[in-house]
Amino acid sequence: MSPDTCTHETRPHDKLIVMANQIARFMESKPHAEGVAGLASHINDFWEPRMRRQLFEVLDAGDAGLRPLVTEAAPLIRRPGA
Amino acid sequence: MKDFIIPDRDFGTPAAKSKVMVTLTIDGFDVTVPEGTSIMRAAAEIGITVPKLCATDSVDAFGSCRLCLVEIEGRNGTPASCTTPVAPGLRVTTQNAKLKKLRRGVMELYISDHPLDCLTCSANGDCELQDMAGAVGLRDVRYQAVETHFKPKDTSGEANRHWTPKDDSNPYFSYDPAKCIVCSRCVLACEEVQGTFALTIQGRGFDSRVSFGAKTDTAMTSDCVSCGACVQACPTATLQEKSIIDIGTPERSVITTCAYCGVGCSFKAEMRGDELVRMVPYKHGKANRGHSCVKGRFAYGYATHKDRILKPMIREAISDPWREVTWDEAMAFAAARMKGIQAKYGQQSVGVITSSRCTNEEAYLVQKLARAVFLNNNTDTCARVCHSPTGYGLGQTFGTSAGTQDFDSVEHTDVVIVIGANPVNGHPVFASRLKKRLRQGAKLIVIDPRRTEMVEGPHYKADHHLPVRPGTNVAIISAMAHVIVTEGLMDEAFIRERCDWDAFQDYAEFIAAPHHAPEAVELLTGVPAADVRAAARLFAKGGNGAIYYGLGVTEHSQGSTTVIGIANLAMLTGNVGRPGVGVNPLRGQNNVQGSCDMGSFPHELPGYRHVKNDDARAVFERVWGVQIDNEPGLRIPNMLDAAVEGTFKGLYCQGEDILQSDPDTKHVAAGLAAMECVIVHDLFLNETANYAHVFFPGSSFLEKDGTFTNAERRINRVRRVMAPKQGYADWEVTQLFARAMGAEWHYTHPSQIMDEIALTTPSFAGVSYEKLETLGSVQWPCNEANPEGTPMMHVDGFVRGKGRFIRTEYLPTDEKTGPRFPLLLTTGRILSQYNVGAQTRRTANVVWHAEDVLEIHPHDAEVRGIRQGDWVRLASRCATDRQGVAGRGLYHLPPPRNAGQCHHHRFQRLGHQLPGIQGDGGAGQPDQRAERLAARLCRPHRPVAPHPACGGMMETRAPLPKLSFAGGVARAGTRVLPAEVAVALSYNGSTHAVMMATPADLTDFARGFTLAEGIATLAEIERIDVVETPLGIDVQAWLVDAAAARAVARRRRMAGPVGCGLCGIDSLEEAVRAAPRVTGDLRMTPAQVMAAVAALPAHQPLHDATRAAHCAALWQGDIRLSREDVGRHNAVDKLVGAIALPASEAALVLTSRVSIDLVQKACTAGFPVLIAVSAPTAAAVAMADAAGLTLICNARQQGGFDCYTHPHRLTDITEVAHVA
Repeated sequence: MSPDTCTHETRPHDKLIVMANQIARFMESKPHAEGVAGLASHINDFWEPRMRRQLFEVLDAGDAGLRPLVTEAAPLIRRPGA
Repeated sequence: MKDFIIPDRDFGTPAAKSKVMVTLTIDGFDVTVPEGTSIMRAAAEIGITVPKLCATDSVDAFGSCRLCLVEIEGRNGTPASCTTPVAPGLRVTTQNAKLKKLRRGVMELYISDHPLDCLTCSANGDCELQDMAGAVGLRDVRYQAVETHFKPKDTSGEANRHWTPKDDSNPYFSYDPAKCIVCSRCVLACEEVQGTFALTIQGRGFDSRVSFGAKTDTAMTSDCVSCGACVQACPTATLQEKSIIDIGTPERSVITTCAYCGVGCSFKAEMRGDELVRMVPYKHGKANRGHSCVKGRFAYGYATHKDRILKPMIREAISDPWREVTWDEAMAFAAARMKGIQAKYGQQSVGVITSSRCTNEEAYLVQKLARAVFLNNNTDTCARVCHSPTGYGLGQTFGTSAGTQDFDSVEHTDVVIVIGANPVNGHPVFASRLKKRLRQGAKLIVIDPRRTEMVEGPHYKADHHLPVRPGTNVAIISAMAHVIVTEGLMDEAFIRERCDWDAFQDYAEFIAAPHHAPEAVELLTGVPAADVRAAARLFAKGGNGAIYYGLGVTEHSQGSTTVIGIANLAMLTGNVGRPGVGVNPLRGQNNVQGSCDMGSFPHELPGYRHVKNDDARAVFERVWGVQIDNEPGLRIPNMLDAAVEGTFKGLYCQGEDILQSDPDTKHVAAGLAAMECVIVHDLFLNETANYAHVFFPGSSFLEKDGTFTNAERRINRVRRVMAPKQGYADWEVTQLFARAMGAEWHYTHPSQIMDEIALTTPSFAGVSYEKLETLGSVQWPCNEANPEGTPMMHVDGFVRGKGRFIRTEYLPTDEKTGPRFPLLLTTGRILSQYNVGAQTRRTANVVWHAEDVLEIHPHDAEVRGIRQGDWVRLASRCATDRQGVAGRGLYHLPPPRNAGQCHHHRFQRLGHQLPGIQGDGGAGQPDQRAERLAARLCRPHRPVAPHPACGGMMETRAPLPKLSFAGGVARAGTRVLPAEVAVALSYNGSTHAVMMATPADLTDFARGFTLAEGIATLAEIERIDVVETPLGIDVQAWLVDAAAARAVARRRRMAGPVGCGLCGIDSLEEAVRAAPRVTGDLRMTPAQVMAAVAALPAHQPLHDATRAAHCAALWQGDIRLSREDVGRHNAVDKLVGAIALPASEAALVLTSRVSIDLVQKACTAGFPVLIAVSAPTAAAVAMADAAGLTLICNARQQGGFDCYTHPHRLTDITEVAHVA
């Protein structure tokens, strides 16, 4: 992100990427396995299905911009029903 | 307790805290009291009231009135019972012939210098002097005072030098020195209870008077913070609420809870009939212990403000006007819409926002509406934007989001850390208790970017102020923990016994890393390492250590991590689980705690139980008879995202103005605008209501029953003292709506809602209204194990079992300064205003704070040419359409490159328009505290809007209506006038020049100005942006660094920065300042206008010789005076300088065209009529119209003239021709 761009001008999916990455950066300071589990359970506990669906859209499209921990935790994240 | 309470007994002196008991005999009765109790209080304990004037149990005994004398067997004389402590075996007599005589003599002296106007005195019936005169049997006064303090004139008719007029400067109370008996109770209250030291006794002997500081000070000009403690302490009518003076004494009182901050003070609402006479802090209130602040004590007038909406309203579309309807119609309309939305877009397409201002019962019902009626978990609360990090951080480390202490705990504290909070302003009653402890010697560490009132005040000063850069809280807390761990200062015994040892070792290894050392962190925080080390050592080894924190911690992208860091620090130093220690969040709004407790969050049922837990859902499913969704719902920002995407369409928003209080206003507005049904339930038509389809009028806290839960988890009763003005308490409104949606709700009193809460929520299991009536208040958890509540958490072990240390990695915020946005903005609070100001701005509190103030370091101000009191403008990378709002002031000293603002007025709107979506990953917490600002924080202004007739900001011309006068006939017509727009030219974010200009070719203009003024070469200009704002045009030039530095230096050297080159005005603030309204009643006939213009050439000798000079002349029957100059503004200034202002009976005649600056000058000088031979600009016409100026232009010697505004000053018009 360029330092002079305004983040809210971007698309909603970008916002989710920022949020997921923020959680990832917090969880990265933990032992790896705990971090992966922590990230997944955080998203399961706090993200409404619409948000998780959009996250999976990003993941399914090749996870552009997501930190590796998010990708790694993806199998543990509950995929919402259609 | 409702409607009837036993009057508060005044015991005369404060209670002693000793555990050693002493027995003595008073008037033959044995009494046992704690050591240190006064004889006066001991007597009061057994119902014996010793007469007194200067003693009251809110302050220490002073012993000045000599009325409370007693005799003690075996002791000499008649000691004052207020200052004489009890001793074992004393035999005290409070009443005998000798004492009676002495007391009567004292009273005679008092009364000899007191006006005997008791019948008309405002304290009649509420005066201790009156009571004591009765108590001592005063029947006559033997003394005839030669000199008095109460007679305005002495016996010879001369002014009495001892008399001082009444001070009515404070809007809420008056000070009448004529009634003062100089008992000093007010002075002591100001010192001991409030800690402000605004009052003093001035003079000695007969000359001693109560004074607000210096001799010339009034209540308003002094340090007085209007807390009301002195008024409460005053035994006479000297310091008295103006409401008592206006209304009379109250006849009943109801105990209730303040609806302002998270301290949750108990008050007595004193009533006469249905009218609230005054709010008096309740002595037995366990949060406030009889103290109050200016908001709770006095600022309740909003409840009856004329802006309150009292009828429900609906409208089809937000572009339609509101239509007042009956409650039934409003409910039917709202329910039909919401049902329609759910039918069309699905169950998840609607949601609710609960309020942190409403009661627990109301919050519970609103989230129940979502879960049991809408059948989803889309419920959230504004606590999202302030305190969810506490829930997450303390929940992870300690096992519960609960703050650990009660407020009384501060009396046992030895070292206090205050971080990200300014309780002096935000939580003033708690601050008074904290300051009292500091005056007793407790140490203080303040972590705050700004040098707030908490850092230093009367008789306290922080031992360490760590002025962190905004956004580096985690770094500074980690640095302190690093010092404690690496220097071995931790309480290892506590950690081994109470905490998870493995987690501690992991944390210790993490925190001991060199990059957490204060020396390394200094680069990030800007705080000298030595200070951090000293503060850490003090906290670790200074005795009982308590941490108090506020929104400066939580409203950050790393809020949760900071809270974890704070919890780590408390565990490291063993400061949990006993009085005087702990982790204490200072909640913002009155019921932030309660609204969170009540299940307002989308993932949690009441009592903080996740919706995924089957057993938690089962409890509610059983009681509610519905199936509860097991997926988390949407949080406020996500509701708005979903609304923009089109999957979220309906919102019921109670007592919350998300458009004002949530960050990123543009996003909120876009979300609201995309919804099909927005229901706003509030006292006032707030900003969010602009996007609403339904408005349910709300009831004030005075009009309903319920409970609030304060920052110490204390559940306090809110009691209805008057009927809801709009018909229903808020809980009833929610119930009506739920029933309209088909729910079978049949609550008849909020106590039934509390019973349901107790039934379903373990931490509230023991709470009932009956218990609250008996105990006054309880702190949750209140259950079988703790039937009277839990003042202190984690006493015998953490709620989660073992306390858990968690690593706290510092992550820099994405909000960083750079060349374009070099300042960091933070928000703050000020004492007299609350939250977004919806309430306090509707009270007399505005006298303390009428507008928001930007605080900026003097260095930052100087390089931008900002002076104290200037209007300034802010911009951030997200707010290119910034509004021209402003603040003034340079009074605190934030570190260079930081700016602070309070967030109660319009500045808040701007502040919240600024941020991006930086959020707290842990808690979905938007980052409000570190925002980049453009340096266009400068000399501007409220830029003038284009004339409405202009098609837009970039239009260069506009056709405007006029009246043409020619040959005695007035004809209506139009004329195309040039537009004139405020243009600010900035270099790399700093405004360099501001001017009024034709809005065309502005890039050329900026480039040319830059070249022609020698500021930069063509190659040094990187870019020029022309940004259209609603209020003016911003031309932003970006130069290479060397040239930018040159521009700054150039600007500094100039006496006044370059203005428009024509008028010499150097700021848009000046350029477009609203012209003062002219009221002059001059009347002119068209013939006189023509004659004035015709006479002008005879007064233009310079112009005659050169054909190149302007003339300004004063006409009053004839041209009386004139001045010439090459500049038209100069000619006007010279003329104004030559006459005595105001010129309200004269016309100003000009040879030039008219731009807005000339309208300003004419109006400021007081001319009611301006006649010019040339045309005006469109903006000048708009300004003249607004100012009431008659603007006459195109006035030629032959051929008539045009009048653009206020033609009523033209008389003798023979005919008005109407042109179709």
